[in-house]
Amino acid sequence: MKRIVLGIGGLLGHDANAALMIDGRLAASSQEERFTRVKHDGVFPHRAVADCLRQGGLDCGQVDEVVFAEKSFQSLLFDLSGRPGNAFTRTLGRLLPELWGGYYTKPARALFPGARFSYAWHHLTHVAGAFHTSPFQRAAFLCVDGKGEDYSASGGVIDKGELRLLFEQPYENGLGMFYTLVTYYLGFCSFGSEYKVMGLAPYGRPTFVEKLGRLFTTDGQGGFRLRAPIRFTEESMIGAFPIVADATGVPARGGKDPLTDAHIDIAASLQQVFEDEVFKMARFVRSQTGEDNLLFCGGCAQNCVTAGKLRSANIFSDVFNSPVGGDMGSGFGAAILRERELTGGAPLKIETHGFLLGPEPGPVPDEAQPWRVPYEGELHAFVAEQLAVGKIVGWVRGGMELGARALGARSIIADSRQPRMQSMLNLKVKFRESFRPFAPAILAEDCADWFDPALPSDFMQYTAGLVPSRRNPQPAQFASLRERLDFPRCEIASVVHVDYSARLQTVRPETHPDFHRLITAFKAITGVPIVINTSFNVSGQPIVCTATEAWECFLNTDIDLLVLNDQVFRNPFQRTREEKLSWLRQFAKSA
Amino acid sequence: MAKTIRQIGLRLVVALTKLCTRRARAGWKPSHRGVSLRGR
Repeated sequence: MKRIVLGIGGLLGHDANAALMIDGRLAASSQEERFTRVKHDGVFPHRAVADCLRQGGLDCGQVDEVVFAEKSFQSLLFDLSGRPGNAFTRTLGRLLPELWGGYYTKPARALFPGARFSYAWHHLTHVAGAFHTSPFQRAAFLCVDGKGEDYSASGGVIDKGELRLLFEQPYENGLGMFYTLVTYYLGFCSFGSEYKVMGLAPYGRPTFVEKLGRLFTTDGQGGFRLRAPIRFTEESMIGAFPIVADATGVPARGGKDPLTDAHIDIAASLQQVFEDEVFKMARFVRSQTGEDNLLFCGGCAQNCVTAGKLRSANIFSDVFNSPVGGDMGSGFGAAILRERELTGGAPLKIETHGFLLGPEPGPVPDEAQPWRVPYEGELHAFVAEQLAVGKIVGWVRGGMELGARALGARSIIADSRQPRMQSMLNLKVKFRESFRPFAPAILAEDCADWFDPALPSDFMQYTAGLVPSRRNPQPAQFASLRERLDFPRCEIASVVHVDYSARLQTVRPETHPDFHRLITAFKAITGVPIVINTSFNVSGQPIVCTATEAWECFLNTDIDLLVLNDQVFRNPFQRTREEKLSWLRQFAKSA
Repeated sequence: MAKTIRQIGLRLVVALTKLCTRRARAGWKPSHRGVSLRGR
């Protein structure tokens, strides 16, 4: 008899997801937004659950165990009482009937009437997901998050049989909330926009660090709390804008207002404060646990700049950043926790298949067929040739990625050597702010020739610096942001930020064989083992999932070629600018 | 009716929680929550 465990995440109201484990093997994991087409959708993940069961060849009646990625009653009590929980609230959580288990319980009970239900501490789902995909046998962990039940950060130790949660920071108004608050204040008001501020920071100077320091209290160990009692709601954060404006002396920026030097410097300062505090936390965890290895996880661990610096900081011998740091991987982590509990610490090695755990693209739409491009020989060689002459290619093959980053299954790919490719992709393909950087996907075996440190970053979890010998010196000052962006700072300027950093994807044949083959073919033509890899979507749109969605996105952007499984299509370029803008408007709310 | 009873129950539970819990100061605290998946 098989043991079927289903993990469900998203009870915090965003990034609903599901993961299926069969006899300790990860069978599938999907995000609800990929099916509902609403970015960060937090509804009960009916479609993600159905996709997992379909991939596992199961029906609902066969699921034995359902585990939620949050103790939702503890979260509710905290929201209503304003007090962190204790033994009393946890006892209540055990005694009260199922209907107190949060708004996911009812639909889950209806779907799985015969299953046993359990609830995981939210941060521990992040920890378990990180540990079982890391190379470590044992490690300390530091989870820094927006909110998990009633706490914002936690630390402890994990190995294959033991998980010890040692320290925590109560309340939600911690470091994650601080970053989100300033992100909103800088005019990036859609959920999950913190990465835009991280990308903006290198353009500025951290001249507002002291002023931002008026907003919070901190100690030498990273014990951090905002002075004002702000909650994790949009209304609460917008209500706190005057407090931030008072501290900085700069009014809050509206989403459509131009970015001034002061805004950019505030972004740089925010990132600086964040890094300093994470480093303090990491030192604290090191001193308390004595462990050599660190798992950096939770929503804040998606800050790959900080993760990259933490890895090079010599606080720990080695640092592993969770491949799926945000809540989209929480169902996955919850399922692992339940599996650990059920098997009593038996070795559990999770094969993640490069985190390409979602559905296949499905059939090519009929309307695409007239635009099919015949090619001779091998697909990867043909596409590499097209990339090398400057074509932008949509690449849709196989099961799609879990998590926010495209890893070569639903990607837009372009030549990293082309001048101005960054601006072109931002403005004509992604329809987003021109300052936003792109990630290089590089053959892992060539990484040391280009970046330092040349360490694995298979899921874009870290930044690294371009090696000095490949840098072109930049002038001390630029007349404008545009001039700075377009300056040829190196051979691959489209994927190297103004501070010569890059958010790497190191591509290995054993992890992402198909994508590795494509970059190898590109290298054979150009001598450069690097392509631009960005998610196949436009600003505010979830990454495309099906061939039909890819085709629709293709028609409304300036992508030249679309690869759907083994077929190649050229863009008819028939849509007018007005038609494209009209199509884009549906995603504006999440942009 | 069930909704009303639940609302009253929730208010009672919140009031009890306020009685039985304390505000916490900023910073790291030793964790006593354990790692059990039992309970909501």
